[in-house]
Amino acid sequence: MSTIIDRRSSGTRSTANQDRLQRRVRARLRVAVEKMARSGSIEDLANADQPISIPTRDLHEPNFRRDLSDAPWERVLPGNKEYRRGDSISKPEGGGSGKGREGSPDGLGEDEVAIVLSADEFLDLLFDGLALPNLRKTAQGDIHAEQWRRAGFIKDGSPSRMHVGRTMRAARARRLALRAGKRRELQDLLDARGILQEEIQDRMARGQDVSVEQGRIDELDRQIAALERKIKAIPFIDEADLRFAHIDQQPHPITNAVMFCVMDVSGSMGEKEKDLAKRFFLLLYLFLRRHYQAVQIVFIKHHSTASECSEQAFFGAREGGGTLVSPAIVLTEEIMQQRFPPDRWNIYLAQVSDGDNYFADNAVVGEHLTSLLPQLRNLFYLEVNRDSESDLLQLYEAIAQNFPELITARASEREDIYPLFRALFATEEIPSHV
Amino acid sequence: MSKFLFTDNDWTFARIDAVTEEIATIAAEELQLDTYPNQLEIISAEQMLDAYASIGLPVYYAHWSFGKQRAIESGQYRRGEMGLAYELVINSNPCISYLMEENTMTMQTLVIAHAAYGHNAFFKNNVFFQQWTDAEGILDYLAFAQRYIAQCEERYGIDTVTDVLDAAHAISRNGVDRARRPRHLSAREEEHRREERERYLQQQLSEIWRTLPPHSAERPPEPTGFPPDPQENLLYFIEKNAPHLAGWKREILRIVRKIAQYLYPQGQTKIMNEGFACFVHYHILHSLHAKGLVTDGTLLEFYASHTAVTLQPDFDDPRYTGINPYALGFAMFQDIKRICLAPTEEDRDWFAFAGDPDWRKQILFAMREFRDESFVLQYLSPKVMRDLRLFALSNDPNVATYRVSAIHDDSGYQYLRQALALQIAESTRPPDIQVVSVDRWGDRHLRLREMGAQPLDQTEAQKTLSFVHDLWGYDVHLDMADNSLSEPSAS
Repeated sequence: MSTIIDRRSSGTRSTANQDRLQRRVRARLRVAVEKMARSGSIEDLANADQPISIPTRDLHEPNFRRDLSDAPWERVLPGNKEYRRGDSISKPEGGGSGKGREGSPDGLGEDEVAIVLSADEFLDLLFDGLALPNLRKTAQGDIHAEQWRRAGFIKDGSPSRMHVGRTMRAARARRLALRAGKRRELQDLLDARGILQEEIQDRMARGQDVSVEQGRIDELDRQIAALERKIKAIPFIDEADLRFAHIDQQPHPITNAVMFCVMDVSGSMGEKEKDLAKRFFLLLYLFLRRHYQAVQIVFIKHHSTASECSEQAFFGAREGGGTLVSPAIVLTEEIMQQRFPPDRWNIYLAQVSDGDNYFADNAVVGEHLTSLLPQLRNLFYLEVNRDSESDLLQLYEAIAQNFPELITARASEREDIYPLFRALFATEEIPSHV
Repeated sequence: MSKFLFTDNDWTFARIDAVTEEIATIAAEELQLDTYPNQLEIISAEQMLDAYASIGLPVYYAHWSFGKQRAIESGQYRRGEMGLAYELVINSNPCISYLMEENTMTMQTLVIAHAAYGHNAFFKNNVFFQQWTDAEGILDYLAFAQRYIAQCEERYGIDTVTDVLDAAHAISRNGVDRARRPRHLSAREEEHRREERERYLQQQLSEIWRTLPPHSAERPPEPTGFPPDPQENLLYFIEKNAPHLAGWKREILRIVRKIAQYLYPQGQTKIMNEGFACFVHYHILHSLHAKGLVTDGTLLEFYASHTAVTLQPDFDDPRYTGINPYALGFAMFQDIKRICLAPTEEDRDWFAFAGDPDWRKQILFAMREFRDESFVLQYLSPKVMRDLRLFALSNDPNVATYRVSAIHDDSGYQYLRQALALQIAESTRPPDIQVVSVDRWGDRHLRLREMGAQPLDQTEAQKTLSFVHDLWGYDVHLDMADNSLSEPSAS
């Protein structure tokens, strides 16, 4: 009468409900995510797996219920120790204890619900409504390479590409199909022959004549021999069985991106400036990750000379000296040519500086930028912690007149970075500078 | 040679099978239980949380409130604030019981006795479950509901469907027929209709009837108001009468209403259902032990769980959260057996069946024919009241003190019984809100009235009313004893 079923392997089925829950509190989740992006630690941002608390009042489900707080009521309680009928018991301080338990069927005494977002969900919320400005322009033209890809099997091809498994499978199927009918026929003949044979022995035992039967046996033997010949004649492999692996050239979109992070590490760039830079780089990195399968990062620091370095060195280093921007641009160009040819990579350059540069260097920077910019998807220039626009920023802004992919911004507080980021990438319009 | 079904405490499918067989024998022979076939399903903790989120139903449509419930519960579970139930059982045929994989073999035995035989028999035999629910059809209906709502989401958008569900959920507790049974067209009714048709035909054939003057003038005047009588089932009324509601929205209201109706008896029989299941597992575990099928250790582990479940903390205990339905129900069923087997003079005064040697018949009768409210009125004995040391406390908001209105003594028993029955009735039934009129020829406003005397939570009522307004499509008013609300609100 009883059936026992092991259901443990069928997994959970709460995804649909969770989706709808997140949909409902999306606005609130977004606020929470943005708050983390504004002031949370960089580690939190990078691996967002923390629960986000949503006040339950946002998820309140009203219904008609009684409110006994100001009404007379009577209740039966267990565990009487000393009371007698007619006793008076003073009410607890503050009153309001008369609230019926039945009044809160879903109020578990919790006023917050914790929702855990996956990394993707977190990023979706963080970058909700944002888009890479230049990506839209080139969305159709993103295909830059062709690649040989497997494209099924064909019946004709060069011997070197013959697919043995497929060929043997086709041969076997053909052999089975051609043989089955004949085999069946053969079996029938053999059965008939067996019966005849018995009959002959029977008759011989009784001393009867067997010449007619013998004649039929001979006839059967001839037929059997003919069938066996036919079966044997079915070839093990036939030209029709041959299968060749086919490969075809297919357009292959570039799905990789590289992000060059260029930062001024001269004496004027302090901890605060670097923190601003790091926030900006991180947001940009996470944002690029949404669009590309893989994003590589190249760190370049510069003062009067530029060098490629590790992430630790990039954010940890503090070097003195004067500032030259052009060596960093030149180094970017070199690395790009060597390792990230622009026809294979989506290249982004993000530069953070406090804007100090030798006056004479600005012209050189301008020259290099004009040749570099056509090969870039975007160049983001962020100027940190300055009261007024530097000459460098003015130069960039002038260049941006001709190159909309050059985007400039200024920030001085950590809370500024995320709103600035949103403003940069909002889909409504593509600002060339902020 | 030992006959023990198990000696160590790990469960295996073979052991569960063997134990279930023994339990089935005891349930049938010693307790004469009539049950649906059982389907035992082993599930993980995550799956138990899923089941919690959808009120224990195995299939349910998607809605954010279930996601919210799960988020709250899994949070509490992770923080260790809440243990999960050992089992969950569904009123269906076959009767599905979920067993947690983390249970020990003793716990699995207890849970099978409790859920797969105790609750199962209750579902099949209790008159309220028989009248209000359809154990045969529920799984199919839930699957249909899930499919239908998913299709609606696809066609009309998730947000639109959510709006309808939100509104329907808000009044789902008022979407239950409380005073009227769902209609089954019985064979007798069919017969009656056929007779009526026949009589009508006969009239048409008898020429003599034609000579009678028409008596249409004597017909009572058409009732002027609509609806002619107040309607208690808000969801049903709106589903059938809302002036402009798309067909699919009406179907969704119907789904919510059907499921609310299916769940209604569970709230009405909490004490009895749990009490009876505890009574059954208590008997079965002792019987297994008496037959030498389980060890003393198993019995001790069983006692530990059983006493934890049926513990009734005193009102001044920090653990007190109200009357424990397991404790009260178990005590009452055990007491019925005691009254049969060893009645005192007091029991004979109180109960006509005291001393009836066939205690099974009395237990099964009580299990079949009552719900919590009437069960307490009928069976709560002075002994149980004394054991639980029940007393009644009354509150007058205008007086600075509470008053003890009755305790467990001769003069208080009757009073306590009635007070407790009333308390159960009020806590298990939503406020009685009825549709009293629709202005059909005017602005189509809908007028509701709260029939009970107890005040409603005003802010809740206003929010709920706005959902009713969304569904009805025109103004909605709610009259209460001391004031009235409107949606859209008058201000």
